[in-house]
Amino acid sequence: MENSKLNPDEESESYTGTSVRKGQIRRVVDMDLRNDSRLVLVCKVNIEDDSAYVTLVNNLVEIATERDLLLSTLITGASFDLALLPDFKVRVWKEQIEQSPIFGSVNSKEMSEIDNFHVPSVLNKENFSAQLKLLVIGSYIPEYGDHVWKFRSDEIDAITALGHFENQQVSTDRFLKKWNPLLEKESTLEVVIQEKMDFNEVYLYILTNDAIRCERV
Amino acid sequence: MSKVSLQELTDEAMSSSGLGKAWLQVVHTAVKSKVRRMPPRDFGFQEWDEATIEDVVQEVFVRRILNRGGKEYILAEASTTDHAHAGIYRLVSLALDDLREPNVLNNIFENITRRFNEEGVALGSNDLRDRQSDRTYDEESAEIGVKHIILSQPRYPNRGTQRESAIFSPSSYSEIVLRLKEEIFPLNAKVVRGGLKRALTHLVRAENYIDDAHDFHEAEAGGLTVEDQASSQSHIWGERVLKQLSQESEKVLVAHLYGVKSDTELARALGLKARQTAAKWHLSMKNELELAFQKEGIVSEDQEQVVLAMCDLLNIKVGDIEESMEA
Repeated sequence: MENSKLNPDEESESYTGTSVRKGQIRRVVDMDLRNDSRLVLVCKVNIEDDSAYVTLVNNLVEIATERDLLLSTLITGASFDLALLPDFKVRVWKEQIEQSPIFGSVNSKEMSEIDNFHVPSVLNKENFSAQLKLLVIGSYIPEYGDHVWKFRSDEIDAITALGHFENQQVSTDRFLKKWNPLLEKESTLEVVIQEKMDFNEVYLYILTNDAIRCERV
Repeated sequence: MSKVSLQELTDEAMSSSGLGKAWLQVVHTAVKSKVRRMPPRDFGFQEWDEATIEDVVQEVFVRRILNRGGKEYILAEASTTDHAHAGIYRLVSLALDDLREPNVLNNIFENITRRFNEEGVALGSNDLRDRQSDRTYDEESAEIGVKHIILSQPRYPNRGTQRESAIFSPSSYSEIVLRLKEEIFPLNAKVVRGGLKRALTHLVRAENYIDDAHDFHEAEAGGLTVEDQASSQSHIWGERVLKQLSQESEKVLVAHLYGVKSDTELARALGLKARQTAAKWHLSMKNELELAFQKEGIVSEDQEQVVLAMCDLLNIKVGDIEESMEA
């Protein structure tokens, strides 16, 4: 097991950029350069297919609503204050992030608050700021016809354009391309245990692969 | 003049000499493009010329680009030249709002104070209801209360670049004053001003601030769009006419375009005590407008376009004007 030192939140060695880890603030780019890049917070890294779940951040803290969290420079170490928009979460490939510098990072305590933050829904009138001990929510109250609505819908479009929807076949291909050399030497179970991969994910990839193989036969 | 590339902006930002010609060029173009839609008086200037635009450019650098991580954010987020330009345009909008905010705050505060005075109540430093001292004396909570009352009131649409004095209708002001008296404790000038400042962050900013459609469009075009250039003559006339109007006449014109018709309504909208004063202002506005049209040689066929351009400069929606013109 020559390359078995990976943690679930760490990079694979197949890329040359800076390792992608949970809590980092990075720029996500469109590989085809058709869409504008955005700054994001990395919320989860999947080593199985080298993807990551990221959440949009921007510097418009003045119009952060109660659905958003404020990340000051003290929290992130970045040169600018940021607003995190937990509604705007997408899945991207690591290649889209790893060439970007790390602009700041959120430590594990604050990340855990972000992970557990339930954004308000229309029907739920719970006091959401009460969920938070280390972070604060935005204070902007959008009105009917407010430009903020359009801005937010544009941002949803922008971040969605940068993301990739779950596609089992693509993920399986990526999984096999990345892990096949190792799978040829070790049993799948051994690889999953050694590499600390998500067993369910891997099981799904293998199953899908088998299904594809059967189909071809 | 060629468009400054992202590479040039990055190189300059990373150089030992710091920001220079490239950043200055983009900021200057952005400021010039944005202020032409805004009345100079809101920013404490008599008119927009090279000197005043230079002052604003300096302010943009001091307030938003060199401070608050503005430059770093642009370089962090942008991956294309257009994106970088749009980001800088947005920072310019933010800085312009920073500059305008104190004037707007003063206008609304004076309007509220005047209404309290009319009811014989002075907003001094002490609470008006000191005698009801069984309530908790918490100025911060009171400021938040003031903010919510102000934000609860409807406001005229798209008045983001104009003085805030007319942002609320007279009935909204009455409602604000009534609710302040009933709900806020302690109620004093500091609390009202503090609450207003909190609310204003929302009232003033949101509309200009995230005008991405304009920011991206203008940034791509490097300042003026084709449509802008086509209508520039009307805008030039509109600017000239507006400059010739007195402050009172400008207020009357804005109120009129928003559908205020009778002198009684006008008096209420402008917070004037006497209907006769409103009538005098109204007449004076008509005369000044007519004179300005004559002086600029604007023939009657062009006058409607010039009025539309003036509305654009005053940031009043076209739909509102057409209704008012038909009336």
